[in-house]
Amino acid sequence: MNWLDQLKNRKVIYGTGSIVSVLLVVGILIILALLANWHQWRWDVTQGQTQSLSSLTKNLLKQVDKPLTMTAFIPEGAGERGSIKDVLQRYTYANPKISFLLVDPEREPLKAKEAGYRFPGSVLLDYHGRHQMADKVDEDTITNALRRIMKTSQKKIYFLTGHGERDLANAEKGGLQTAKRALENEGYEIDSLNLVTQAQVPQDAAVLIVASPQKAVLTSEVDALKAYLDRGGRILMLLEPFEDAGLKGLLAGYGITLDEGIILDVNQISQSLRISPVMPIALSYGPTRITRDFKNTLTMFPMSRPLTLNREVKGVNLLPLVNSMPSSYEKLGKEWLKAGKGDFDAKVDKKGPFSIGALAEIKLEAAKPEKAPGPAVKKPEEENKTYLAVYGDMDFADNTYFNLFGNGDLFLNTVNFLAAEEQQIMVREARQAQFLMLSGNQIWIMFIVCLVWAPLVLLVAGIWAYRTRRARK
Amino acid sequence: MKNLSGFTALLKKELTIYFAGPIFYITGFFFLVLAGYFFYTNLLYYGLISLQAAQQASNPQVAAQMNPQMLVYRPLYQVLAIILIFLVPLLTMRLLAEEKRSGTWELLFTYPLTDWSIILGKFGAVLLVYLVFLAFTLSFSVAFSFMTQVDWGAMAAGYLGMVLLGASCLALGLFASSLTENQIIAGVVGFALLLLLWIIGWVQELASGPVGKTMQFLSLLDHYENFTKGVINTRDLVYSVSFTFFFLFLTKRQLESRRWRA
Repeated sequence: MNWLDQLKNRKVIYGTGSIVSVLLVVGILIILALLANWHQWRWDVTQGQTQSLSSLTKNLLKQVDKPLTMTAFIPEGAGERGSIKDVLQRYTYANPKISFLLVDPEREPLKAKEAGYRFPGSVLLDYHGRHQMADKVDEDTITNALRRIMKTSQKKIYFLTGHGERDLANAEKGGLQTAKRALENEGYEIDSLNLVTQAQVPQDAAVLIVASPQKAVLTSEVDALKAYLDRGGRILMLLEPFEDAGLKGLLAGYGITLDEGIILDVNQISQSLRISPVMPIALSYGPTRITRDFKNTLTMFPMSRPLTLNREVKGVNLLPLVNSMPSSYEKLGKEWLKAGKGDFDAKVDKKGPFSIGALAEIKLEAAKPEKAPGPAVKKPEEENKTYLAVYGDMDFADNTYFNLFGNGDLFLNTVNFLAAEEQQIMVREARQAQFLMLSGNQIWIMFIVCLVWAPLVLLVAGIWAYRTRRARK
Repeated sequence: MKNLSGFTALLKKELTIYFAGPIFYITGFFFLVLAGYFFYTNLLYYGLISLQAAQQASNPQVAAQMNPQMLVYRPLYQVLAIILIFLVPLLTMRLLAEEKRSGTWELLFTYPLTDWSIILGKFGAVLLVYLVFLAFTLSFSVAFSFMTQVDWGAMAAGYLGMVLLGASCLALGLFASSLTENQIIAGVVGFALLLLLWIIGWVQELASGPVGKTMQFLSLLDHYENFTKGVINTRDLVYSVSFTFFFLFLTKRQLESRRWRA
């Protein structure tokens, strides 16, 4: 038989046909796979979208319009590689302009050194020629680095000092380190301001925060604050009960009166959460941009004072930011504190709800030519007004309470609103931990369901099948 | 229509064999014991660290991990997939090899059945058997849902992943069974292929670039991961369906080859 006959052989012909058809199918499947790789649709079906980026990050990613590369430095074979990839991948899903790569700093030491690599797990962002390092791979850190790299200039927030205000560097109870970090992570530069050494609030101040001064602010300082507001500056004041630090007059000018008492509240929620009566909780918010997304969000204001709003001041539009519950009441003075009697006394105590926070929208006088820098072009409506936000409490934003309920969000939203950072105003979706507490009975029930009933059913059915089969034989 | 009735007849016949013989009950028994054991121990572990983690609840890193999906279901899916690799060859090794060995193979082809209805009848039967096992495991979650909040959406994604992974593995097992008349060899070949396709993604740690990416794409594990997290991605759906179809198609080629090889 020569080779031609062999080719004509049935086996060879059919065999070749078979191989060709398999190759054809493989080809089609490869094309399908490539298409599926290029056009992916991804659904996160978990409750609370735990496998996706938060809406805060997604909002930010919408602004990424040039290629952004994220380089994660992590040794090959390290356990965290998977979770790092997982997080970075979510960014690439959200915006196709984003790509990432993992670099082993031991294998490619030069590349790593050039990028400023310091320790495993750091991520370098490269956007439009700018670089920013994120210390670790989690959504918060990377998003913050992203925000910093995308911002051309950082807005500056000043904290007034010199009157025993809360300490920004203090990591202990009552300090403001948590709030400071949170503001920095929102992309602000934080600085302190002493109006005794400086005659006026600096031009670059986006917001000035007065965080519970203990000693009276000098008249000249109050004037500087007023002048700052008049030229369109924005102020956030956080004042504890019985401490108005000489700012009463300034606030009264905008229709805000500070009550000389403390809000107490005893209701079902506070009782179920076992909260002290001097820590009133709030669920009702004013119709402001700051609190627009606060629906069913709880906030807590330990040792706070009510604000009375006088809406008749000309040129000022006063809005409540947050109100205490109808069950709350106000104890005036300090005598009851000494006696330790906090119960509601209908004769002397005022009944709630009270405003704990207020936003004053202040219409500015016609722009004064000497204060307005640059040419006097026609200003848009928004620039002819400024804002002053006041809270009758400082504690809600201190280290102890900042991360409790919606407190931190309320604080950050207020600052973001004042600094005109519209995109950053929202309720951040905190991933709530879900704990499992099983009773002894429940553990037994689960034991029976998991390890007894299902296997038992199959075992009994198996024995029955075996016996019927034997009986037939 | 004729194809359909042939398919259902074969499906019934295969199911009868499964339900009459010991394989279904023995594999099912051990599958459920293992699944129940892992579900139960995951649950106990979750309860234990709930007590410990309650103090750190404000830490967002801890909070993100503290839920039934991360602590009970994800580890369960991962371990069930490993069990599947051992289980599948046991279920599929008989399907075609037995027919070949006992000589009923020739008889089967004398029936007015197309190759596809033979393949789909056998594949459908073994898939149903697997679905019965999975359905039993649902009872764990039903009982569990009375004690805590279960994320049904994520669970549905996880089970979809289990079904698709099961279909892929069973198709491969069926193909392995068509290669030989020895059941043991069919089982071993099926197991080896599954293991290979399971761990092929590990290579991407060593080989970067397109080779690594291809290996990763071919890996069963890599596509299954997303489902266990509660994420449904079209890429993974296409992969699973393609994988299943490819091995069923190979089985068909293998069946056809009897016509010209003899």
